[in-house]
Amino acid sequence: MNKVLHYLRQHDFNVTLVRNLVAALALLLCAQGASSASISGRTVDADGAALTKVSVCLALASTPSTCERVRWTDRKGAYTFNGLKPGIDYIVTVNGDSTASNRKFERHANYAWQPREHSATINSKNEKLAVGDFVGKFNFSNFQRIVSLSAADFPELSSIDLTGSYVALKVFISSGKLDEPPQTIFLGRVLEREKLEIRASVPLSCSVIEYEIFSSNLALSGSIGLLQ
Amino acid sequence: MINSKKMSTRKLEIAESISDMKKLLATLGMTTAALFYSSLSGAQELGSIRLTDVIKSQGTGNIDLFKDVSASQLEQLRVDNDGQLVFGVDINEAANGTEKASTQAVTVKYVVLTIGFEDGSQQVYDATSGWFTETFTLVAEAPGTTRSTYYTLLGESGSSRITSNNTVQDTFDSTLKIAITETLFSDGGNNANSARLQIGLLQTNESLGDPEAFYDFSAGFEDLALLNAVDASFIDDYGAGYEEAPMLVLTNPPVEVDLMAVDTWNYFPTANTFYLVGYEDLYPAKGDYDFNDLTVAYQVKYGLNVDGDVVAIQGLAYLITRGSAYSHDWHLGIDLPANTSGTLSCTTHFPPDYISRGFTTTLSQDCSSTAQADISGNLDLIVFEDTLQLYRDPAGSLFVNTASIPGNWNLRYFDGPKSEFRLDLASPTPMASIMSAPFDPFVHVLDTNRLIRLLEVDPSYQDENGYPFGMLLTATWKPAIAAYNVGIPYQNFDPFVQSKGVTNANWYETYVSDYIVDIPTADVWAW
Repeated sequence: MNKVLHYLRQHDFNVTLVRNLVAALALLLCAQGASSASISGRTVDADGAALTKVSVCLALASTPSTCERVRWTDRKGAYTFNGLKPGIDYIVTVNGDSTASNRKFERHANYAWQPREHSATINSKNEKLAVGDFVGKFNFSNFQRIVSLSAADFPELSSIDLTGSYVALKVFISSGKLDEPPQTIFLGRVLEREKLEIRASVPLSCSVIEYEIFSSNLALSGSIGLLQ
Repeated sequence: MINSKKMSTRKLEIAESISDMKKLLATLGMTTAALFYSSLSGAQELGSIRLTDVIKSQGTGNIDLFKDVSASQLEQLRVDNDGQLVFGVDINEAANGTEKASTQAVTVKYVVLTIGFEDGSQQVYDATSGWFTETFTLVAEAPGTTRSTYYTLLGESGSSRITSNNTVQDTFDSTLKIAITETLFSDGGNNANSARLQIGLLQTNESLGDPEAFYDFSAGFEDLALLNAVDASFIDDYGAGYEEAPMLVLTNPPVEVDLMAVDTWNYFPTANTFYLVGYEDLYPAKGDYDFNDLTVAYQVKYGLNVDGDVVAIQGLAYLITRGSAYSHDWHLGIDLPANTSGTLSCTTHFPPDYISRGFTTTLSQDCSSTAQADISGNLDLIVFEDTLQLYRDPAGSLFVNTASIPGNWNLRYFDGPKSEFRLDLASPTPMASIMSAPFDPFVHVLDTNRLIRLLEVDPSYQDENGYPFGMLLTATWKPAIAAYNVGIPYQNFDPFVQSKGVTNANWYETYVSDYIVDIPTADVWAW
């Protein structure tokens, strides 16, 4: 600790401020730790066998499409969300996180789930709530669920001035054939990074989503991997 | 090519002072017009004039204005348009990819107007002196890949503009404006005696897909007219083809942002591909499992406003096969927030030969006799109603595009009806609150009164062995011949199912040709 304080002094840090911040953080952690309420459950197949590495999303009931936390089921197909606050309505959704980064690591991408979500309300700070199983069934279909993309998936945007000239974003997947043009998912102007929201529906066989960012004096390209 | 710096400066200036300028221009225009008309004996309001010369199939036009107008008429039109000559362009592009009847476009590479005068002098108006259209975009010229800013001309075909007042307003799609500083005609003056417009369209690099494929030039003749101010204003305000055009930028954007206007589109699955869904309609019995009882291709797109919220949901669907004695309604369901309301439209179109075959007396009709104009809450749209009546086999078979003839397995493919639908939402709706693609494409089997849904929508729609009754297929899908289990032509299908998708994930890419109907690819059936 003394070494840390010495380092901070050497680098003109306000040591008092840092001390206060550390204390506040500790208090916050203690306050969070005060609640030991949890929601837990399992993902299984139709025969009741555990399904592992399934992504489970915890969202507030008021914003069901925004995952507050994501857990991956373990070898027993189990997951738990700990430290939940009482008096809050939650939604637990299987495969609820549709971000590209999440999709990279999941198994059972082509399973259909029943149910898809559970509603759960934590009533006391020590409540251990177990919701019903999510039962997964192998799905024959060619398309898996949607991939949600935001400005974070296009890191180049953070260094581009969007308020001046027209800056376009093209999101596409390759047709896989030389003589066929790419298949466009989104094509349009990016006005505000914070408001950029795109949905992509891509086949299971698709391992990468590509993009171009361009203006009259700019041409960038990149890709978003969908497989580990 | 447009000087982008100059353009953005110009746009800003216009945006900031547009109302003042409008007033000023209106006053100046009226004053000038009044002075001019008073100097012309017997002057009357001049109508727009259609020109003889056109932009030809190679994408260039060499337009002799004096074939159709006199110097006096040119001057009247110039004054009427506040010192500009305004050309109307009728866009006639092939409906390929995202270009279709309701929206199509070309890109302008160069414009040069040369006016000769009685004293032998010439005045040349080109990019330096200034011309513009009402829209521009960023595209790459073939064979390059570097995108630059170009003015564009947009349009539509085959629609009747109910608000138009004459054939010019009904026909012409976009305007091209050239500022003319010289007086072209006056009593005793040095009058114009020739005027030649040279215009070249850009050959965009279509291999890049959109926006280049949309803003390409596909060898159509583009007709031209010289417009008076009333017709020019109508055509500009109408904005033919604007809404569905990708990457459309307005040269003179409105000062106030309309949050109900579509700014961009998010496509499902993509702008130029379709979901293909096949059904077994004997549910809950497994049946022959040929998966061709009804095959439908569909695509959907969200129209997003400048904030990224959804303001319109639009779709297109085609019937591909009907291999059943049963009739069906094909629905598309999309769950929306509970308080959603909007205006819905859906039209089924028939291939042109359906009338001559006696299948129909009209080329289009409402998708459903019970179609609702307004919705509240979830969307449940009957996109194709009563498929047995809607989709018939010209050869007289009960089935369409699924049957076989001994020794001649592969029949000619017969185009199916298509339906276009659109929901205009009453207020911007967050994308996350709308059901995800591929949505809920389901069949109502009229003979059994059963519904059949995709497994991913409702996992209960499968038999005791895990076989579904509705399945999303690939865009290149070749249906099995009627009564052949899909596992016969697609021999990797059963191993794929038995391994629960671990092996043979690309099972649909290999098939035995004798047992499939060799339907064409989407560029043929998506008529």
